[in-house]
Formats: sequence, structure tokens, C-alpha cells
Amino acid sequence: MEATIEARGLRKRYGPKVAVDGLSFTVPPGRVTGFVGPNGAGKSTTMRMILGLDRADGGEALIGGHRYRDLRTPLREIGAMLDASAVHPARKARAHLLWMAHANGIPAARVDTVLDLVGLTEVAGRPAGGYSLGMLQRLGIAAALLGDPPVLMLDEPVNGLDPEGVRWIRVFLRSLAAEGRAVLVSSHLMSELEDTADHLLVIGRGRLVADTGVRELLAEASGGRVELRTPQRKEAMAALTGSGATVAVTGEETLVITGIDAAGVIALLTAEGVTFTGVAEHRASLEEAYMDLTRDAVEYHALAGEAS
Amino acid sequence: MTITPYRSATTGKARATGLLRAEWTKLFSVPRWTAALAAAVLLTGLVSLLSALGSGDEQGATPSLNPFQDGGHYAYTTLGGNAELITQVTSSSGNGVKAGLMIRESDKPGAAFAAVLTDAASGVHLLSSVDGDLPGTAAKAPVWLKLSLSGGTVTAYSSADGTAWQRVGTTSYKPTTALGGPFVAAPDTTVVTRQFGSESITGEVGRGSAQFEHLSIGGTDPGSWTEREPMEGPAADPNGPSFTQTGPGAYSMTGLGNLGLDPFASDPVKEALGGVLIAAVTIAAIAVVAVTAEYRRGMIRTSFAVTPRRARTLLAKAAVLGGVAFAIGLLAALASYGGSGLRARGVPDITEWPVPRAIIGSGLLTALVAVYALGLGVLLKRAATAIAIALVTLTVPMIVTGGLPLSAATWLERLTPTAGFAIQQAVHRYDTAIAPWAGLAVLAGYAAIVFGLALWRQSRRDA
Amino acid sequence: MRAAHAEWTKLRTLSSTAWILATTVLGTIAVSAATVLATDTGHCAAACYEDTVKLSLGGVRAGQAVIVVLAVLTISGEYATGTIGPTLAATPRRLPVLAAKAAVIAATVAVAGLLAVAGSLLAGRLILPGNGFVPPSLTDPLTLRAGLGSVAYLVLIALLALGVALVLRDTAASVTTVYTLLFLAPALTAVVSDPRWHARLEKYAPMTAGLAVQNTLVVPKPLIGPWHGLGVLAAYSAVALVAGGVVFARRSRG
Repeated sequence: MEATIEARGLRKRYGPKVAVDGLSFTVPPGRVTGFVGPNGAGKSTTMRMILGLDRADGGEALIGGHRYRDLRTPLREIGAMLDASAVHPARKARAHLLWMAHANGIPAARVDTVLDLVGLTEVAGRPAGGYSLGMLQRLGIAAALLGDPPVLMLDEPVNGLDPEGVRWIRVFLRSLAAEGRAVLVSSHLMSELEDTADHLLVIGRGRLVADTGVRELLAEASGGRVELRTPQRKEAMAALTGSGATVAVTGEETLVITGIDAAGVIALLTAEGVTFTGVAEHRASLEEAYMDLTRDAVEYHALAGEAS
Repeated sequence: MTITPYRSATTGKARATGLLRAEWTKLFSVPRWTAALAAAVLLTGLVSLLSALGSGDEQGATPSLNPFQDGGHYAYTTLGGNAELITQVTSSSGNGVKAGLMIRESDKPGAAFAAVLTDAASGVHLLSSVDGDLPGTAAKAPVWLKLSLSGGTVTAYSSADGTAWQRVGTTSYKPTTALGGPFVAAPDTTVVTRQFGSESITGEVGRGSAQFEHLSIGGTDPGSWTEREPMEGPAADPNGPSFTQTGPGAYSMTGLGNLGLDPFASDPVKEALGGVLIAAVTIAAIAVVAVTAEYRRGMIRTSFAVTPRRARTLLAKAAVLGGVAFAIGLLAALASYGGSGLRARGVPDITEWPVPRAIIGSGLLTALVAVYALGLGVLLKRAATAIAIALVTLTVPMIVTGGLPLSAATWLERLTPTAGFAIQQAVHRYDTAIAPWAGLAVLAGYAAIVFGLALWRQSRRDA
Repeated sequence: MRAAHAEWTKLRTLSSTAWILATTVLGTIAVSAATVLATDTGHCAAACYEDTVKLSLGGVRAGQAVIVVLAVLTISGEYATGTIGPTLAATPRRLPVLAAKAAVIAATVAVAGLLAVAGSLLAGRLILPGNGFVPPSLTDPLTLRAGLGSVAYLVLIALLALGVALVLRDTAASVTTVYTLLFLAPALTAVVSDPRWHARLEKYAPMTAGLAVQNTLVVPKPLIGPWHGLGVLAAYSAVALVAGGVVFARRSRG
């Protein structure tokens, strides 16, 4: 079975409100795919439709080519964590994993393996009601890993974790992807995914805004702009505009150039004999790029709303 | 870079047993649920024990499942072993009068007996303290009756002419002594007033008389008959019981009171198993919570993500809860039966079918209650509402029927889920609303409808 | 006083409160009316000695089932949702919180009970003549005693449920426990044949004892007098509230 999640034109409406509006994407194996969008953008609804919990009003979601409802042992195909606190408080962690294992015919020994994997072995005999949020997140990840699935899907896994927990999850998710698994991680904060995801699915108002690699997204947001630091601002501007570049003054000694790449700038200024103290590609932050994207999405919908 | 997709290294196969084990694990991994189940059994046993120890029952015969009113008048001679009694009841008068022949263990009230009689209303019957009321032909006076005792068996016959006999029925007769002779009895006229949970029974003693001819034991009239001691009332009552000879082999007899099944007798089995209600109520609450807890905490999503075929998940839950409920109900019933065994008068023997029927039925009843409550929990999602509805419908007669007249109360007991408790009946009473299995079927119907709706809702709505 | 106002706000803004109270009032009147409709003089041989007031108030037996849910939810709902934290943060002294809760619930139930009882008696007055009965007078002291006593009965039931919920903190367990106390005692009484135990159970079971206040017929030897019966129920409620209060005050996390 192909280790992928595939969404084809997913739609979901709750009364008059369209929560997910024709969403299509593929989560391929071997990398961490981030699923980002503001709160209420439709991330959780999409994930629930992928798991067959909510009925899609249109389109379909496939796990390795199969609809979730057709999977006989879904835990062995896809591990999911939607809400880490959805555990009966009186139930011990081991029992919580054990019933899931039984339901999918997974050997009970696997329960101890995953408890060990997430570092919960010592507290596995305690009722889950006494767990901290971090421990519950680990329990949720243990449940997702129970069937050793080739596909993982985690909803806001770092939400409410301490920095150490965040680091642990990052490393853990990257190692899972490196094993050839498809990993989909949602977050409403782009910064949380900056060092984790290789690829991003950005949604706003239930629509896919971007389906792109993290590097490509940054390059695009940076827009091939070059930052120049020079004591001879006037001379530099004359030389650069002369060769067709657009130049913006951003400070006493700094300029931002569009139209010529960094190497071109260096060659030009060296030839003209203009001194400069620094040339650098302008690096937009992921947050910046994301804000641009989602702002567009919001505006688009506002316009569409007026038109109709 | 080429990526080798990951392949799961675990083994796993979806089996029905796996689903059952999963639901079993869920049920028994919440300590307070397990504790409540254990407490239900203990409490049930304790209630019956307390009521048994506190009961002021006088010593006496073990309560019968065929409680008889041993009234009326009879005359007898002692039979020396096998015998054949014959008579012709030529006429009878009185409201519902019963006249015929009786063989009984002794002249003590409540002694074992077998009798063949003609009832002015319904014809010939064989009445027996072992088998109850066995109806025969529709023949009325004048009619010939024969009662034959042979080797521990009594056979009753009726005939129009005293030569061609028609068999009415057979019953066993265990006692070693036997008295035999004619009898006359008439059912009491009773008025049952039911007001606010308490019922008062008032009435007049029935009175009837009959003419017997060709009265014989083994072919001859023994001539010397002993009359039953008057049961109560002034002995000199000129309208009291009497037995007078009117010719050779011909007698006239008047009797007061009824010989027949007692519609007002208490039901020893139902009383003994009354505490099972506690087990049923506990099970209902746990069945509701077992599913509403999943809804409240969002765990239902985990459940349906683990097994996307929702109907199977719900069926597995129902099977586990129903199975556990059956065991709990059975244990509770056995504990109650055992506890009631300490009553001074004891309880009916477990070899009599209504007793094991009531005990096993208590298990079935509790299982159905569990499925019914589970269905309510799925449909309503809220524990408080689901438990309130489940418990109120199960105890509705105790809540509202107190103030209702008997007919309305009877219909409520027939048509609400509480009808299931009829399976605990072992004695047919005047206020019996529904037959045991029919009552259980009513509850099963409710369980099926509610659970069916739950399955249907479940597969359609978003989790 | 401020605590009481806060509790009232919480109760009023809970969406379930309104429909629970509506169910109480309408349910009580409906069951009362049904009881009166089902009763006629047909089953009486001669004169019919029915306690028409008690018949008209038959729905109180059903209404209490809803009141129990309301009272339990005000406590267990706070524990289930975690609202108990802010409640105790706002009023750190616990007994005033408890007193305020009890007062607000009692007042709410009293108003709902009054409506339910008045509606039931009116329904009785309208229906009973058609069934051959003389309708009860609403100003008769015995009728007033039965009516107001029924309101007091419902308030005491609410306080009993409140106390049980404080001890158990769990919706399901609390509702089941209170129902067991109320409805199972009469059910078990029905199968106890021994007359002494029968009488004892009827005398000291909270529901049967408390509802004695609805009697308006003079019975030669009543099992328990109207006020005594209400007293028995009040004792149950007091014990439950005190136990709840002690547990509530001692418990560390709310």
C-alpha cells in the first residue's frame, strides 16, 4: 500500500457555513508535511473527514488509496491524534492503549513498546486524569504509533507543550519521516513548523492557499531581493538604476535592490568601483510569508462575498 | 532522492473477538464502574437477606407456586391405598359453585389434594395442589365424575351417563395417606380497591350447594362420612356448611368459601427476587455512562477512528454490556434466592420451573435493560437525561401507578419497559398484568427499537 | 448575597436550566391530568372515597424526577466542566458558596413547584367533575396543606439531590443514587410481604414519607402524619446536605 494521504475536492458545510471548500492535496511519504491555517480555517474538519468521522459533503479522502471506512485495521495504516485529552480520566494509559490494540488485533506487547517509545512506561499504570498536558500529548502519539503505521496525522501536537517537549516532538517527527512515513502535522502557528516541516499545505477559509516546499515558499516571499550596505549610497544607486534594477532606500547606508541577484550586484559595484560593506539575499521569515498568503485568502473571500 | 515508503512491522487482523476484548477492556478499566457492578450484586443479596431475616413469617409449609384457597365443605372416609371414587352431580346452585370429588392428604387446611369438579361457569376441571387448574370438558351438572387413585397418580374422568368415561387429566399424588369424598365450594365475591399504592380487598364469602347421587368408593357407598371441621364463624349458623343424606347414595351438601387458585396469594419468587431491581438500575446507569462518557470527552472519535465500522463497534459494546449484565443479573438473582432461603418458611424449590425461569429471566431482563439504556445513551448523548429516562421508565409503576385505578395501572405495567419484570412472576395473581415471557418480550421490543434507532443515528451523524 | 447573585447568574445562563424547569412544570401538570383522567367512579361499588386532592397532585411524583436532574447538574456540571475552579477562586470560603447554591436552587424549585402544583390542582378541578367526582376546593385548608406541602416536598427533593451530588460529584452516580433512594424503596416495599417491614419501609422511605403531606382524607390509622412525613424527608435532605458540605469544605481540589 502506498503510504499517502490524498484529498480530492473535499467539501463540508455546517448549516450555511462552508467549513471546507473543495480541498485537494497529497501528503507523500518520507517527509513532514505541515498543515497550517488560522484557527477555524478547516484543518480539524479536514482531518476528521480523512478519518471518516465527519461525512464529507463532496469529494473524498484516501489513505494509501483506500477510504478510511474501508480499512479493516486502520491503526496499521494511519496513526492519528486529534485531541490528546480525549481519554477517560479514570483509565490507566496502558488500558487506554490496550483496548485500541485489541480492536485492531495488534499484539498486546506492542503497547509496552510504544509506551517506551514516548517515555511513558513509568506512569503507564496511573489514571490518565492525573496526567499533564505534555504527558497526554505523548499518550496520544503512542496511540498513533500503536499499529506502527506508514502514515501519521497529528492535530496541533505541540500545542501547550514546554520547550523541551516541543523539541522532542520535532526530532521525533523528523525521524519518523526519515523512515519513509508520510507525516501530516497541523498547526495554527507557522513558527511551530519552521524547523519541523519540509512541505506546507496552507489553508484559509476552507480553501488551499499554498501547496509548496518550505524553501520555495521562503524564496518566493523573499522575492529575489538583495540587501546592500554601502557608505557610497548615491553612487551605488546610480550604478544600479543604470543597469535596470529597482532600488529602494531603507536606511542611511542600506538599500534593497530588486531585479539583479546578489552575484550581479557584487559584479556591477566592483566594476564601477563603488565600495560596499555587505550584500545579502533578503530572507523573509516563514511567519511573514504565511501572513501574506492568508491575508490574500481572507481578502479574496471578502471580495467574493461582496460579488455574490 | 527516492523514498522507500514505510511498511508497518506489526501484525494485526480485524476479528470480532478483538472488538469484544476492546469493549471489555474499556468497561473494566474504569475502577468505579467495576466497583458499582460488584456493589450491585452485594446490595441485591443484602436486601433480600435483610428482608428475609426481618420477616415475621411463621413456620409452616414452604410457600407454594400454586397457592390454593382451601375453603368449601367436604366429607371424607380414609382410603386404604388405591381407590376409585364415583358420583353424579345432579344439580348445583350458587354463584360459581364448584362440586365434585376430592382426594386429600389430611383434614388440615392447605393439605395436598387432587379434585375433579364441575364448575357452574366453566365445566369440568382437575384441580391439584401440584399442577394447579387443568381444565377438561365443558360438561355441567348433571354430570358423572370419577376420581381414581392408583400408585401415586390421580386420574380424573367425566361422563354423561356413568358408563362411557372421558379422561379429564392426570396429576401426581405423593402423600402416603389419602382421604376421599365429595365437596362443594364457591368463590368469594371480592372487591379490590386500589388507592395510592395500598390495595384493600373486601368481599363476601361465597356460598353454594349441590346434590350428589350414586356416590361410591370402590363401587359402594361407605355410609359413614366424616365432615370437615367448620373453618370459622358461628358453628350454629343455619346457613353454614352442611352435609345430609337424602337417599341411598344420595347426598346434599352446602359449602362456604372457595377451593381453587388464590388470586391474592403473595408470590414467593417475585418477593425473593425483588432486589434484582437494584442490579438492573445499576447496570442501566453504567450502560448509559459507558457510552456518554465517550461522547463527553470526545473519545467516541478515537473509538470510531479505531474501528470505522460503527455498527460493529456499537454491537460489540452492546454484546459486552449485555453479557456482563446477564452475569450480574443472574448472580444477583442467585444471591437473592440464596438470601431468601433463610426465611422461616423457606422458598419454593429450584426444581420447580417457575423458579429457574425467574432466576435465568432476571439475567435476561438485566441484559435487555443494559441494551435499552445503552441505546438511550447513544441517542441522547447526555448522561443525566439518558439515565433519568431509563430509570423512570423502568420504575414507572412505582412512581405513578399508585394513584391509578387497577385497570390503568395494569396497562402501564404492560406497555412500559417495566413489563420485563414479569419474568420474575411465579404465581398468577389478580393484579398480574402480563405473562412472564410476554413481559420480557415487551422489554425486548423496547431494547430493540431504541438500540436500532441508536445504530441508525450513529452511522449517519458526525462523530 | 453576592455569592447568591453569582449562583443565580450561573443557573440562569445555563441553557439546560430553562428547558428542565419547563419540563418540570409541564410534565407535572400532564401526569397529574392523566392520573385524574384515568380515575373514574366506575370501579367504586357504592360511594367513591377518592382523595381527589392527592389524585390531582399525582404528577408531583413524576416532576421530582426532573427536579433531581436539575439539582444534580448544578453541582456535577461544575465539576465536569471545571467551572468549580473559578467558582471557588471567586468566593474562596466554601460554605457561603454552598449556602448560596442551596438557596438559589431552593428558590428556583419553589417557583417552578408552585406553578406545577397550581396547574395540577386547576387541571384536577376542570377534569374531575366530568368523571363523577366533586372537585377539590382550592381554598380548603387541607388542599392548601397538600399543595404547599408538595412544593416543599419538591424543594426538599432538590436539596437532597444537591447534597448527594456534592458528595459524589458525578452526574450519573448522583442521579442513580437519588432515584434509587426515591423510587426503589417503594418498589422493594411492594415485594416485601411482612406487614411490619412493609410499614417501616413506607414510613421511613423518603418518597412515601414525604408524599404523605398530600393526604387530605382522614384515615383512621395513617402510617405517618403529613408533617411527620415531610419531616422524615427533611431529615434525609439535611443529612445529605451536611455530608455534602463537610466533603465540599474538606476536599482540596474543589
